[in-house]
Formats: sequence, C-alpha cells, structure tokens
Amino acid sequence: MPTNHRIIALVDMNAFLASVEQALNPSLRGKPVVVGGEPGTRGIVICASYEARKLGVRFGTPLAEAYRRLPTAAFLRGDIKIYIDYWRAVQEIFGAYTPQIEPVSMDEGYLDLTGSPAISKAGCRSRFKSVRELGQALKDDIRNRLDIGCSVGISTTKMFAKIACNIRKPDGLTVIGHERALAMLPGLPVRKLPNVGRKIEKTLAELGVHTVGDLLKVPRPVLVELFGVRGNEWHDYARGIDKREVRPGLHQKTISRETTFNADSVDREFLGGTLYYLLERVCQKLRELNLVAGRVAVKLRYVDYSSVDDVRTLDFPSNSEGDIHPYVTALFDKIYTRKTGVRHLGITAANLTPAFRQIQLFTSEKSFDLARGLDKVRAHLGYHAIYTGRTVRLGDKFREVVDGYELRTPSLSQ
Amino acid sequence: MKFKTDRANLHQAASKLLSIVPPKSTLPILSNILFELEKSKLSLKVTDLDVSMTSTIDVDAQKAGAVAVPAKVFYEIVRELPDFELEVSTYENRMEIKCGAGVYKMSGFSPEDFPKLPDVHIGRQVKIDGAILGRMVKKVLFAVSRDETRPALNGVLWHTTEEGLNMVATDGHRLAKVTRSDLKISGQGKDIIVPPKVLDNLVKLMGDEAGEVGIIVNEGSIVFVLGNSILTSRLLEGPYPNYEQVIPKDNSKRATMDKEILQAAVRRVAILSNTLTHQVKFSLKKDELELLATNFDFGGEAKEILKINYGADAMDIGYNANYIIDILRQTDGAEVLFDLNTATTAGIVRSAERVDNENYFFLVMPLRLLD
Repeated sequence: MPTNHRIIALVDMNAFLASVEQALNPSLRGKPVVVGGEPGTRGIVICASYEARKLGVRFGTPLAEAYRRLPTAAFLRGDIKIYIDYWRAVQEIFGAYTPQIEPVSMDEGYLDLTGSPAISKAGCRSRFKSVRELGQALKDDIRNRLDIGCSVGISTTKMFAKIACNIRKPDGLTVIGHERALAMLPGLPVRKLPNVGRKIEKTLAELGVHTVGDLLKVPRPVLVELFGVRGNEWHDYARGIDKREVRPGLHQKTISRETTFNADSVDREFLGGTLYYLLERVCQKLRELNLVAGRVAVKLRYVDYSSVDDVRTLDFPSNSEGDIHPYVTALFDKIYTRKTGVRHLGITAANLTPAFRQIQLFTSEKSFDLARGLDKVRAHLGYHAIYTGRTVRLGDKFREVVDGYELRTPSLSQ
Repeated sequence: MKFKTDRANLHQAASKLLSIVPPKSTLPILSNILFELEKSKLSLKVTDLDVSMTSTIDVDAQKAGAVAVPAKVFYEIVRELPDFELEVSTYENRMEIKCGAGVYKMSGFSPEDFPKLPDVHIGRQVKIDGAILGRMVKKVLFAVSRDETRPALNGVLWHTTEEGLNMVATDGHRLAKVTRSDLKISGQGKDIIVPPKVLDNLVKLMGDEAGEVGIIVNEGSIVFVLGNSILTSRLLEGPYPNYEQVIPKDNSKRATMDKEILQAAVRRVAILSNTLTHQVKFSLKKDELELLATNFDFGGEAKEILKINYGADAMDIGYNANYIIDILRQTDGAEVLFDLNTATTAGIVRSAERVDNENYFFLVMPLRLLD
C-alpha cells in the first residue's frame, strides 16, 4: 500500500450481541441465537447470529415470525449492560493499535492506522511486516481475549474500508490497495456508496443509475439539483474521493429509546405518556454524555407493521425534555393519522454536539434545573424513585424495575 | 391596454416591486405583476398574499385595460432595453413591448386570475416622518424570531403607550426595544404585530429619501403610503409575550466600552469560536475585558484583552458572538454600556449617546458556560 495514502480500517463485530451471548455460554456456539425477547412475546429481533441469518431471521424480524422459522433457536432477552462492557473491551483493544478510533455504533468502528506505531515505515522497526499482518493481529487479539469474531476491512478511505469489510463476512479480513479499490468502484452497485439508502437507490435506479459506473456519467450539477449537498458528495465518492476523516470523540451520532407495547394502544394519553417517558430517557442520556441534540425524530409502528416517522430540527439545540417536548408532540400529532392501534413508539435525538445552553428570555430555567435535579435523585436511588406526572400512570402497562419502566426492546433501550 | 412611457419610469416602478414577488410559490399567478391602466394612471401590483404592493406611475395612455405578466421576465426586459420611449400594448393576455426597432412579446394571465388586493382608503392615514420610522424599524428588525412555533414573535410589536410609540422584537434569546416619545399613531387602542417582510421592504423603499410616510392600521392589516407606492401587509396575531416582565430592573454592574474596539475584537475572536454555539467568553475584571473563544474541531483558541471601564465584581459570561455583533451594529455613538447582573441572567446593552425623544436598548441572554 503506498505510504502517501491514509490507512483506514473498519472493524465490524459480526452479529455482535449474539456473538457475546455465544461467548458467555459456549453451549450456544454454532447454534442459531436470537436476541430480542422470548418467542411468545411481542417485539422484534435485535440481533440474530449467522446461524439464524441463514434461515432468514435478521434485525427487525418480528419475534413471532422468527419463532415460526426457527423454533429450535435460543431466544434471549439480552442485557445491554453486558454488551456495553464488551464493546468497551473491544475499543480498548483498538486503542493498542491507534488512538484514532471512531465508533460508528455499538458494533462497528473506524480506525485510522496512518502513522500508527504499529505500521512499519521506511527505516522504522515495527511489529508487523504488512498491513494484512496487522489486521490479522487485531482480529486475533479480539478473538483471544473476548472469544468473539469480527470482520476487518483495510483500505485508504472510510468508504473503501467499508467496502473491503463487506467482502468477507463473518470473520473476514480484506485489504484493498488504493488502485485496486479505484478499479473495483465502477462495477459496484450505488448502494455501496456512503449515505445511499434504499430510497435513494430507488430514485437513482429510476434514472437508470444502478452502478457506480453509471453514476460517473451523471454531471455534478444534476446530482446537486436532485440531492443537494449529498449529491455533491456522491459525485466525489463515485470518483473514489472520500475526505471524511476518522474523528475520535464523535462516539454517539444518535440516541434512541423505543418500545413495543404488550397490547396495541389507541389511547392518546397513554401514547403521549410513553412518548414523554422515552423523551425523558433520551434527555437523561444526553445530559449524562454532556451532549445536546439539534434534531429529534419520532417513529411509530401501527398494528399492521406499517410504520411512519418524521423529524424536525430544533430551533436551538437542547438536552432538556421541557424544550424538546413541544417538537415531539407536534411530530406525533403529524404522523399519527390513522385510527389504528399503535404497537411500537420510538424517539431519536440526532445532530448531537457537546452541550451548551442558550438561556431563554421567556422560558424559565426551572424545567432544566428540575431535570438536572431529577438526574441526581435517580443516580442515587434508581430511576423508579421518582416519576413525572405524565409518566406515573404508565406503571399500569409497563413492568417496573429499579431502572424505571422496562421497555420492550431491551437490547437497544436502557 | 396600450400606453407609451419612458423606459426608466417603468424600470424603476418594476424594480421596487420585485422583492415582494415570492421566489417559489404554489400559486403561479403570484409570480406576476398585474398591470392596470385607467386614464393616464398605470398601476403595477404584486402580492404574496401576505404582503402586497402597488406602484402607480403616469403614462401616455391610449387604451385602458389590464393584464398580469411574469414579474421577473418583465423586469429583465425593461432593465436591458435602451433608454428610449417604450410602447406597451396587450392583445388577449399577451403583452408586446416596442422599443426602437425591438419588439418583445410574452404571454400573461387574465387580470381576473390575479388575487384581488384589499381596497385602501388613503384618507384615514396618519403621516409620520419616514426617516424616524426607518431608523426605529432598523434598530429592532434583526431581533425578530424565525421560529415558526411561536408565530407572534415572527413580527415587530408596535406598542403605543404614554411614553410614545414603542417597537419591540425578540427571538427569545435577545430583545430590541426602541421608543419615540414624539410619535403616536392615533387610532391605536391596542398593540399590533407587523411582519418583518413588509418592514424590510418599507426600509428599502424609503432608501435614503426621508419623506413622509402615511400609515393606516385596519383590523388585521397595515398600510404604508409612500409617494406613488402603497404597501399593505397582514398583521400577525397575538398575544405578544409580556416582554416588560423580562427586562431586568436591577442590573447594577456597568461596563463601559469603546464600541468600535469591542466590535472588531468580538469579530476576530469569533472566527475561532465553536461553529455551532459561537460562544465567546467575556471575562470582566477591574477595568479589563478578556474575550476568549475556543474551537475543538481545529484546536483553535483566540484571546483578546481590552481596556474598559468596569468597577464591579469580576465575572465570566458566555455570549453568542453573533448576537453581540448584531447588537453593536445597531448601537450608535462611540461608547457602549453593558449593564449586567449575573452570568445567567439578561444583560442590557445601550449606547452612551442620547438622542432627543428617542430611547433604545437591547437585551441579550448569555450562554451557560460549560464547566
């Protein structure tokens, strides 16, 4: 790999939650494992082991459906605290290779290995003869210490590292040099480019753009007209230009809390209370991490599994439920249009930045001070020690534990 | 419709109207100028349904009539034509402009398709000095909120009291208030909230010419009469928040600063402030102000120390640099006064200079400094 390019790795902990469960309980090894909940309960699959994926069970499959396909699988409720511990341990291992680590989510992280002491440079001694050897050592470290597998892709940009990582899964190691990556790019489907989701893929397909090679023929102004700033980026990505750096510290991109109900509900008071509770949990986490959110999204799924969501930019970034609640209410009123039962509600805070707070003229700081006071009480006595009026009646519908009401996507929600 | 007129006459009238025409509208008719010719008076009318404007010019009329044609295209034609007499005529909603040997034609719409603008009875107008009105509006316009969740704040409050006419604007982070004791708009039993678009256009329309402006306040709308132009706007619905309640009465820590020096220093330091918060820390000590900004994204740090006049307790306050810059831009005179209380309460900024019959000040809320 030429030295004038960066060396960037993407490490993907394949089926992370299921792998952790298999590491903790060796009898599950080689067997299909489904994390998300017990088969008789409602909710969705949060993580399926590769053994289970072979039979079509994946993230988002309703648990009932998963059980129909895989009655013999181990269905586990999962424990977020254990997964967080494992993820910290994984990041510690990354730290031995480079300080430049950008966790993308709780099972994936970019490492910038350029200039890392682990990489050999002309005239310098190093532990490794090649980048491939380094990648293998990283995989071995994780396997030996934590007994879980991962896929590693190493190349010269984040985009290429991701493409490399997806070539061999699970447990793969792929190193692609810059020239080879550039040569591969035109043949790949556009979906492989960063930020190209299903909707965009569909829009592009309607324009006859299926591969990156097709995209190369679309002039920059056309892409910008159609997709704005992102169109501009895709024009670059299609040419192998990806200037995104590995940015340590940007750990958390969004914070979500969501829950599936035991029984579908059309009760606006109950749904509103649940939303407020989810918002409280999101805001509590924001304050704990000393972050503020710039955008908030509300998602709901109806009883027939059709789902709707919408997002709004806050007029000023905040981590106070008092500030964000009007937006959440407005979003919910906008998307909840059918007179049908709701089975799932979720709130996501996005555009997170380090906390700051613009003090308001007409809104007293009392609600913000109150929230901080509640955080302190709950840190000592548990979340359930004190509830707000809006959420106190949720106890009729949710099971209560020390950590507050138990949400029904335990692996993702705290 | 058929008339003759100078190019400059028509160009000037059209250019005044252009900023009212909505750039993108779901109603295509709103992208047009309505021309109405009656006797020797040609009226050009535009509207975005909230704000409307009519400009009337004298022309050499040959045949009365009306048509609506695309505003931008019409404006560009009269802008580019040479300075000769134009002959404008219409035939079945098509307009033809003849200029020397040039002929320009375009299709328009029937005048019936154009929204009917409210009738204005200019007899009831109150006349006030345009220069004073423009000065008041400029002082507060920057503070108008863009937050659509609080529509009342999306305008300037005109509040007539015993003190005179007050104009107030706030976005909840800063507030601007200007009072003229020699101005009263009669027939003002109650407050009105005027949207910024009409005020912005009013200031532009007045330019540097300080003539008289006629004002008519109707139920739900306001009319401004300036020479041959009439601007009307829908008023916003209240209630406007009780702003008087948030104006601090006991800000006893006064810092006196040179405005130009402070403004230049804040602008410099702000370059290295956080791009989202624009936070600049004001550290006040005895006769000294330290400005500090940091930006973690590129390890930026900027510091300036200014000599000021300050005798109260030392204090650190965070401000959004843009708010301070906006305020200083509207503060006249060489010296600016900051009347402060605590690091988390509103500060009052005003000019050290006094103008007869006029009083204005700005409130600015701090940013809570990170621990």
